[in-house]
Amino acid sequence: MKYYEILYIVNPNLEQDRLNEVKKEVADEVARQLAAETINHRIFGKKRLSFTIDKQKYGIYMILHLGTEDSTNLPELNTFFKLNKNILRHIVVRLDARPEEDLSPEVDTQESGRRKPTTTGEQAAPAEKETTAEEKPKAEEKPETDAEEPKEEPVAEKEPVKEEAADEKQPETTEEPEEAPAKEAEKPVEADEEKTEADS
Amino acid sequence: MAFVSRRKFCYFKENGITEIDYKDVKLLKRFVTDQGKIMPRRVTGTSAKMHRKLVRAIKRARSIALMPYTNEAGD
Repeated sequence: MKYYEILYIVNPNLEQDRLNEVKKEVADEVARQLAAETINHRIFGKKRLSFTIDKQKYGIYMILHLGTEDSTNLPELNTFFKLNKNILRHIVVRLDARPEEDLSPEVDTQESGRRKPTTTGEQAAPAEKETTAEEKPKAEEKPETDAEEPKEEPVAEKEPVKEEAADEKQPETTEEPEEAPAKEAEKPVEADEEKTEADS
Repeated sequence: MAFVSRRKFCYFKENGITEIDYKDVKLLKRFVTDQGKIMPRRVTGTSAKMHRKLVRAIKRARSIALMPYTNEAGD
């Protein structure tokens, strides 16, 4: 069994109904081309795109996990994604292991929240019953934040880069941008050396 | 000379990360300059093995618009 992850971006201007239609289209096509077992097919979130695609600034990211024995029709599936006008972009990634089934409730509040604040209000109410279920995604997020703490040093490294980038704009420094990060890393040592020189 | 005990280390080895998910933008952002360029290994201290995986993840993230190819505004 081969496992794949397909992440695709749906046009953010679609209504919830149309979004479900697109989702169904995709599901049908996947079933038709790959006879695949769908493990997850859910909204990954409405996100701001790093760059505009088809003049869209935002996109609804949908994630699809599937497992299949026969992946010979995968190129056809790719074509389907390319031709579908509602799908801005997609990526297919082969997974090494079976992905975990994500049973946490779908967070379409996030996705539709910016456009329809009313629906978020409605969806927030039933969410009270599902507090235990809702804690799951939070728990998933937590390791991320925990993992962040030991990251402090890289962060600290990053900030000086910004400062240097700002310095570069001033005519005083003649450093090339690509060399700047390297120098930044070496700087603490250089500074130490200068100090010791001054001391001696 | 007051040496800083360890300036560089592989972030991934340190945290026991063996696979890098291209969807984890928060993580990937750390290894990219303000302009969106991938930082060199000599700066980040990432091990060669993990740097290769990191690069693949960043490029995947770029292709799906999770990360910028370039960022002229520098933000």
